Amino acid sequence: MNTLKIALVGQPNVGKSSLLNALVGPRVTVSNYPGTTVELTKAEKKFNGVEINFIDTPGIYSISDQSKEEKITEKVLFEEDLDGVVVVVDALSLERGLYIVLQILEARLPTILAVNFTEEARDKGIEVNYQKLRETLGIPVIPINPIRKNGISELLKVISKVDTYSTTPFSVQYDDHIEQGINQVSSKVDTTKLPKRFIALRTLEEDKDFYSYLEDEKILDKVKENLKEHPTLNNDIAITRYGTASFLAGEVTNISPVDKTISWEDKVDSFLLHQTWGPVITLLILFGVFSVLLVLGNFTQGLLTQLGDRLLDPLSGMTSSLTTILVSRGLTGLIAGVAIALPYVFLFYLLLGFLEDIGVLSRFIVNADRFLRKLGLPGKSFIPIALGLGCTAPASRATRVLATKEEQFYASSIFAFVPCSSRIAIIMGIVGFYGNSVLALSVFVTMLAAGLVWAFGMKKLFYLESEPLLLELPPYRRPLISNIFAKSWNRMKEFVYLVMPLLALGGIVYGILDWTDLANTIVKPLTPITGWLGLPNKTIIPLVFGFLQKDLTGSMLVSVLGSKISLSLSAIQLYAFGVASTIGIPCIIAFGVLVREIGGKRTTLLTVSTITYGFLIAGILLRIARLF
Amino acid sequence: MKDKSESLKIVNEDILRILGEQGGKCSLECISSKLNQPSSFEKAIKKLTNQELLRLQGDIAKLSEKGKATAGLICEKHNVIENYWIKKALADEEEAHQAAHLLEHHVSEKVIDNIRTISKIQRQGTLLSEFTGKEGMITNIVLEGGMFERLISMGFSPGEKLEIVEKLSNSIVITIKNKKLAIDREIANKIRVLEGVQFYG
Repeated sequence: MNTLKIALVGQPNVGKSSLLNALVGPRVTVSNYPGTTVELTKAEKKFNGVEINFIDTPGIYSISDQSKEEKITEKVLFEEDLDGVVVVVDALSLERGLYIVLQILEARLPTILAVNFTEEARDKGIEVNYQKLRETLGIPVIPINPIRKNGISELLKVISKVDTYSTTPFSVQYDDHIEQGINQVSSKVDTTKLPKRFIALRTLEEDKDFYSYLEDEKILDKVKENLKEHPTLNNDIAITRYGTASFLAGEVTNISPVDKTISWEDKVDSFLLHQTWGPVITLLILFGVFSVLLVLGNFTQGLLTQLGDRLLDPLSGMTSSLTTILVSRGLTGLIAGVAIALPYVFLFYLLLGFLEDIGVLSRFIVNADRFLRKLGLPGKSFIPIALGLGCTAPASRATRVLATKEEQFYASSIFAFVPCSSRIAIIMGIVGFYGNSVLALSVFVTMLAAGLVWAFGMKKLFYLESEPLLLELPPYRRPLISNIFAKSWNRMKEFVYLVMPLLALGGIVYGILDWTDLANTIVKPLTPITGWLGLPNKTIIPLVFGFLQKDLTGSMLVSVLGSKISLSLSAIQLYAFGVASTIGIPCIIAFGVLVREIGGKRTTLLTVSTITYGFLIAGILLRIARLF
Repeated sequence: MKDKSESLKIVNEDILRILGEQGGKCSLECISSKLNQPSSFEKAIKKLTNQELLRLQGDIAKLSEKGKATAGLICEKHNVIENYWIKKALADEEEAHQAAHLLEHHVSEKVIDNIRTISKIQRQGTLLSEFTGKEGMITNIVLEGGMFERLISMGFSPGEKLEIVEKLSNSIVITIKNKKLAIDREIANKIRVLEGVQFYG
């Protein structure tokens, strides 16, 4: 069977993922591009005897090498041996989409243009003349509506015949001097894989990924030196291209004036993006999300724990052989995992995906940016930090939305102070249960304060400057439920395949240590730590092994101190235990994910420093509290 | 076919412009020496004579009243473009003249009007971060490299209309090309916006 490799390209929010959904259904695979953390979605479709393999690239604003997403898209477009490219554009801002189209046409890739949101454009008085656009660009142009499945089979038909088209597509004409420069560079291009003119343009625009195609990079300096009329050559190339896109868009669209009434969307935005109400509403909605999670989570967690107890019940009667301990500990860990994963993580992802798809999340980012920037964090770090309130492991993974490794590292350090559901359980279930709610609240406040001090310290110490906010706020849209589920499941998969086994493993390791009595051997050498924290020596076991299994911290504490914890620990000691066990990179699972995201050395540095910081704070505050 | 009639139109306009520049009267030799592409020169002269835009007296061509008016328009177009190029692209006079030669044939009256407006408002306007109006036109972006292209590809181009949605303490929310964007004040500091410009199309 004939197979075709087709890439989907487009700016963010043009409906690329809904198009993929409409083309192939929700059966997609998400994978990291080799050696990076940027995700690519792949899916295949059989149509008219042709097997079409789709590669969905991350949304980008232009072909460039500035961001991770752009670099990956360049790799897919120019190194993957594609049969064709489908560029998805938004009829509401055709010139912006055409900008990418013109760039791709410069590379002479077989291109098909899919125009989305045509109905929305019509509502705003914008009518696109597709026939004229087709003729001008010299490529197939197809209006689509992925939600109503309009134009999809037509698009598939065109895609399946992409290798039979032979047209000379439109090409941007730059001014004489630039054209001369392009010709000069072209003569020094050493490849037949891509058009020489394209390589010349990319390199003149300082796209370093294409320098290797040049015989000699010095030609660029030479050409630029001669181009005195264009002191900022790449700006002039970009502006000519946009000008051409804008001109083309103007030629093929008919704009009739429509009554300009203030839409409901603008009304919603006047609240959601209000200087004071915006942050308040953001916090309220987040609070609402967590209330829902807490109620639903407690309910399912209760059910699952009961189920787990019944499963483990037959094991408890047996003699405590190594195997039974390992099995029961492993199962306990796994059940704890399911008990968190199902209610908190999956539900949380579902709610977050919903907020994302209706368009609210981007407004939250704008509101959060005001506060996060004060800490040297970009607004985009709002999503991983919010995720951190569920489980630190997937939240660590979500830091990949950040632009640089430095930002990713810094944002990850913040997780030390964002209590995940397991740490919330320690604070509520141990400090709150055996002490009182004021004590539990003061642990939360301490975490927050310690986090702020940490963040300001890091910002001052390393002169952190976060990337300035430049964010598109998509219109509010009715979400596609299947899309949200698919997205949540894709995020969830990582948790299931990586976190769950680690949870079981953590339980088993603790089981071995417990059975061999190795756990107790660390008590003595580490007495200075418990001494500093003003805690009984044996509490080092839950503190240290909590790292393997945060959810077992409570039961470990009970097993070393006996069930009458309130008799063994004073209120101040409970508080110190709460602070010491919750500040820091929480567990081996988060550690494992972080190693994949920011590397082993940095993760170790982060874990050791944040945990030490937590212990220091706990000890200092304990001493201060004792003064009163 | 289209190409041929297009190039004929260009030669026609060039002849009219040259005659205009020479005060309405010039020898055929003189005209053809000043032409960029003298290929269809004779045909063009014939056509212009048929349209009663010029009269031939021996080998001297003379503009009619109708021809003078048309030539005037073309000359003005040429000047507007030339000035625009000198100012906007910082080209030298010769280059600007050449650019004007090329563009005058393709550019519509509407564009000429727009250029007039743009030329007047160049380097005018206030920084977006200090802009107090409701809507305005982007006149200038003082950024280089990656960030410039990012803004351009998001629709932030000189000449585009922009609408203020909300001004927050650290960012500004705007609408450009039917899209809402939140933009940091740091970036807004590099964008100039002019209020109260007539928008064409």
